[in-house]
Amino acid sequence: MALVDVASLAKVSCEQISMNNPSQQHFQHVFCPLDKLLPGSYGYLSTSNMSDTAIVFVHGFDGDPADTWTDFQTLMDTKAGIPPEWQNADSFFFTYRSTKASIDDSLDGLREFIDSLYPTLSHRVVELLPEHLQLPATYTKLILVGHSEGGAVIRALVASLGSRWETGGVRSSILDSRVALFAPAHFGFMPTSWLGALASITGIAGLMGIAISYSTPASEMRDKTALLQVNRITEKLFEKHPRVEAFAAHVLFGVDDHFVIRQYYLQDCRHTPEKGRNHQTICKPSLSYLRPLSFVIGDCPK
Amino acid sequence: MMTLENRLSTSLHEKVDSYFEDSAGLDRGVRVDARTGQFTSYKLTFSHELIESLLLVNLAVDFGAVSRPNAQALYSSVFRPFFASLARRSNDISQGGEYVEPSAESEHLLQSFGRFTNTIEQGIRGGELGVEALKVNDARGLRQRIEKIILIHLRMITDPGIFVYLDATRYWTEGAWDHVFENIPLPEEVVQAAEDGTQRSSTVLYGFLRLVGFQSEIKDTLDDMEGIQDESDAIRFREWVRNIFNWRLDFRSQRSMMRFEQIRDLLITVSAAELPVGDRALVREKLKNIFDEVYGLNLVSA
Repeated sequence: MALVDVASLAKVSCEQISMNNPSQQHFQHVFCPLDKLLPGSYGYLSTSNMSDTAIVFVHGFDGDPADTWTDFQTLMDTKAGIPPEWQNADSFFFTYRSTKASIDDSLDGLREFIDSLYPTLSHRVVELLPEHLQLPATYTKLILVGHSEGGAVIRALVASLGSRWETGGVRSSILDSRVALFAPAHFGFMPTSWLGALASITGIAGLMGIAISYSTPASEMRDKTALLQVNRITEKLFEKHPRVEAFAAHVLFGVDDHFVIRQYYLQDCRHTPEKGRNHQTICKPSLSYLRPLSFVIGDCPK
Repeated sequence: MMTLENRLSTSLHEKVDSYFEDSAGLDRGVRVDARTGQFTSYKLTFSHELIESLLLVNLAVDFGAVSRPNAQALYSSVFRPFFASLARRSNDISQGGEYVEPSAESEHLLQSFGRFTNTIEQGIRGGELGVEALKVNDARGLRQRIEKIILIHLRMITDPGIFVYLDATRYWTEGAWDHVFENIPLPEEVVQAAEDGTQRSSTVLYGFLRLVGFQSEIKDTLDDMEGIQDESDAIRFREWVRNIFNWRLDFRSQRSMMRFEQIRDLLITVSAAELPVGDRALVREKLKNIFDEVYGLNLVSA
């Protein structure tokens, strides 16, 4: 039900804005359910035959593609100040059992989802798309966008693929993606104890060990240990391969985020935190807050 | 993709801009408390950070991590204007037309970076900035380490919490310092103080912990000399880097040391108080050992 609403919302919005700018040629995006590939997932594919970019969105804990990314879906077809690259970008919305599955399980699902789309759409996906849609031959650019826990899943995927490559395995093209993370939970959620705060802020393994052994919310700290491991692996990989794009993420927090630990990996591109935005609203663009659209597709701030 | 040199340039320009914006707008030059004879201005924290940056840039040039032309560009646009302002203030204080003797402020900086007096004196005189070089036999092997250390440095100088903590321990008046302990924040308030540059207890505690985390990463980087064939290279490199960072916990300053211990002991006490009585003594000891081990970095060469 929510998906239908999203599609119609996007349509209304596009029509309204097209009327304001009738002179420019403007490609719109078509809603494409991908339930047969992965239940609950879908795409918005450009009617341009020049699509060169695939954007994969990964929601956070207890979220879903519609709730988390509705505003992107609504706004990607506006012409009001959004980067033109959006016209030639196809967006895909991944979903997973964020409240139940482990990060390991989720990253396997995400890898399979991306592999079916990038660099070329698999036969399984093509079968699900409308016949009239002009399909891209191949994508040359991949962008992974995560919110909250989705950011942690993306980072775990990148660390896993990097480690596999480092130990002699195949080098995945996912490693060349741009990683754009809204309020990522890559250092975990807000601790409620002093030992948790000490461990979370410093990231020192010894403090993490003490917090796990003695702190009451021990499960919270075990998750943090796994996240710290992903951080260490990714930083090591970056040291060896500083030009591999996915090892350094673009990170944007809201100033009023009181939900996750607001920290960055050493190599990350830190985007100035957005005032007046919290954990939920940081990834909700509007006509008066278009920054998320340029953050996803843009560059490091100069 | 942002290279290390781009990151350096962006962060250092922001830093020096903040340094000058502050002096122009608020006229907060360096001040000395007439009663105690102690410096009370946070301008000096900026100065320490910029000198630390210069010394790391010079080291990065030695190891090929930053090119000479890029270093020269940074000398011109960041470090020369900074030293020129320092020299102007020195002249004002010494009431001379020409730089003759180091003023109290310059003397303070020279003491903080005792190993690098030539570089600082040359800077104040408007001379060559890359005068002190670390000569090693295998620069290539150490390049990754200096690159990582520069990334840590950039995170530290752009973290407002660390700035507030350093400023508090070194330059706040007794009255301002005592306020830190009047209302102890909740652990989640400390975590939320990330990227908050206001002078509050939670920011001071956050800055302490964040700095400990980064210093621990520096220590780990310096301890791990795997693959470095020449033992003397490793020893000299370690000592050189430690001397650059030593000012962050100044063992020669009774005030800085005492305030560090106060914050450390406060965090140990509140953390242990969360636990059953039987665990407290052991956890207190473990926490103290972890904090002290990190700062053993400074103890070695103090």
